[in-house]
Amino acid sequence: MKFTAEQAGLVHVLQKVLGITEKKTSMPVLCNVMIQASEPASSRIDFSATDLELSLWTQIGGTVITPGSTTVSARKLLEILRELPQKKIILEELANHRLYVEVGRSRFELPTIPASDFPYLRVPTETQLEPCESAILRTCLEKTFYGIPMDDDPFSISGLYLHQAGPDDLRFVASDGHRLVFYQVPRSNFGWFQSGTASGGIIVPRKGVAEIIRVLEKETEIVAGIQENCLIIKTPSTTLSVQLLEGEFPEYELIIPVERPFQLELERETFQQALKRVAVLTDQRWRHVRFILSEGSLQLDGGNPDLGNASDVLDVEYDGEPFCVAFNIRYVLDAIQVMESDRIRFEWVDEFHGGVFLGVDEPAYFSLIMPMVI
Amino acid sequence: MTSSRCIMHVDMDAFYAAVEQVDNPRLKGMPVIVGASRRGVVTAASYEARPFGVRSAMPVFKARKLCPHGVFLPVRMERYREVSRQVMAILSKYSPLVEVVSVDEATLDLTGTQALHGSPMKVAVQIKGEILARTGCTCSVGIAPNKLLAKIASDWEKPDGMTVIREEEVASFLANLPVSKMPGIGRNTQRLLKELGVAMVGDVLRFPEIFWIDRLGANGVRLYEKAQGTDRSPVIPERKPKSCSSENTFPENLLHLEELDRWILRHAEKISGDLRRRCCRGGTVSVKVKFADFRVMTKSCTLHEPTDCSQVIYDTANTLLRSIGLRQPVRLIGVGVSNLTYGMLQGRLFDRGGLCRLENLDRAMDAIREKFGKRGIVRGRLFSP
Repeated sequence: MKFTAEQAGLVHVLQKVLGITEKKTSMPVLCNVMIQASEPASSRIDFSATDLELSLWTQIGGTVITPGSTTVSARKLLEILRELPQKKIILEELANHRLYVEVGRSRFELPTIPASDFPYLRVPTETQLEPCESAILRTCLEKTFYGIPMDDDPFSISGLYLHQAGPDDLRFVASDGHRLVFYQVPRSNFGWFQSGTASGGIIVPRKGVAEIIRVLEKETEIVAGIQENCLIIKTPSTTLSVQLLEGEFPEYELIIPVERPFQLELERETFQQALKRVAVLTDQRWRHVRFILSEGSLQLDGGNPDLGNASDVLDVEYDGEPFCVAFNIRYVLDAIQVMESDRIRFEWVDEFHGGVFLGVDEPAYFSLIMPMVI
Repeated sequence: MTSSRCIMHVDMDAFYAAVEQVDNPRLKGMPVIVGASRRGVVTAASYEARPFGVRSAMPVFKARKLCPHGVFLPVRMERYREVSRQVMAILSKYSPLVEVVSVDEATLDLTGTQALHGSPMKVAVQIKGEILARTGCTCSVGIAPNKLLAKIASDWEKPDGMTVIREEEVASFLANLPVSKMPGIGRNTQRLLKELGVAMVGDVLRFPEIFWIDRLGANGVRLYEKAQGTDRSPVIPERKPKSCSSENTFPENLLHLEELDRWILRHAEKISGDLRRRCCRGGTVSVKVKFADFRVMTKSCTLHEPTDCSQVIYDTANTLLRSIGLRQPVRLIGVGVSNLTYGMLQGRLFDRGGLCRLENLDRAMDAIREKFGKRGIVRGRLFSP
């Protein structure tokens, strides 16, 4: 295999691929990117990577001199390419199975693993993929990503749950067992979503959601679909396949208090700044903020015996009973940071039920945080 | 800021043994050794037993050999705690700053209490008198400008002693103090000191500080400070525990997993009760197993969220026990929780596995035990008529 391609294009594809490769694995080939140079006439070079759950195929144009394929460490190749001048780079697999990289007077040789050892990936077929509004999908994912826990635990699944809500809507739901967030959009935007799956919904793993967001960052024209328990997202140059999670998402709708008799509206900016100030004196062990609500004012108290105490008071339109509740301050900040609405609404039942944080002008967004109790 | 503090260390004399002698006056004047289980260790030896060479932490069988006519008694921790509470209550009358070091030891900061209670010596005499009158036990008191010296002083004239080290006497006192009397000097440091021919604390100062830092690093700094009698640590009332554990040595080695399992449950219940009483939760559960050949194995596991639920601690400990793999009989088993968190607990959205119900069960059992005593309610698996 031998080909030449522009440095910038190579860096771009390797950046896309790197997120997919595994960092710690018992299968070294999963750290590698597969490079395939097809027939000279097509002047196309394919790059693919997989961690067996996520797979990505992408390509760039170049000049193929000898067709062939091999795999090489994605991280090392990217690190080298980043340091090289913006010129045409020569890549060649040598007879000793090393990948030779050359530009100007710089030369590198990287060990390879034969392409035949790379897991066989069935490239998704184009049929059954339907156009998808990239901007809307990206919003849905970005608004809910913070709620997906890093790891599975007995109380939560490390994935984003998509399911049909009502006759016309699709909901993106995440929960780490302490808080819940969802974003609801009309289903018409997501023709590809088949609600016919067994449980009525699908669960996209956290890493998959992060990769989809990355792919969508630069692309507007996409098609999507579900094939063989994988979510496929395809742009003109890139295809991403994400294996969906098995398992059942908790019946979250049951724990949302339907009647929330008390509410309060706040300026998002002011509220957020006050929370950030109080957050300075919270840490891993003492992370609560106390909402102390009385007529006309909301006092935010935080702190601990080690770091000190913080208190901030906001003027609010409230004439109900005095009320006090405590939340993890990080959770409240996460919930309001993704909101676009200038005003937010805090709704509650009592100090034991989850508090609801909504955007006044953003009806699609819903977040619920369980209080902290003594 | 004035540097002159007045710290008092109170140390009960052979506490457990003394309580036994008070509760049973026939034992007065007899060598009493607490720690009667055949295979445990001596937890306390009365002063009558000490001439025979019996020391605490010595295996009971060895103590029996040394002192065959001794009175060996089982440990009655509940009772010692009760007496300890009486002692601490007396101490707390003399200063708001009382640090309970253990069941039988406490440190008081008497700085600035002179105007109210009189000189520290007078206070010491009063405290000793009150403790004797209330509990029948004697104690030894040390008074010094800091915690380190006060502790050394309390140990100086045991039993029923009282030693005062004044600021100006510190250097001469330490010059002739054997290094073995200095608390917090580990085995390795002791060996090094012996090799260097350093027998008295004062000898440490004959080498420059840098000499000790080169050999002991940060501990060298501490050693040099200690040798000068410097200790800036404050008296902290209500020091919060960092871990909580429960263990026991069996009268006969056990091999049956089912039997060990029941012990794990007992320990888990005890620990979770302690956690709930202290209003804290543990994040890490560990299991300790001592095999017949005295080999000790411990394993631990960090939970997804801190807990005070007996079932969760039991389940985790049980899984750990099974993962240890028992190839020979077990002598001792223990369960511990560490990584304790205090304060508020994050509420949960979902009650998977009925955790809320299990927690409610614990609370209900606590309430019943509060009212009807420890045996008021027992889990079926642990019931014995």
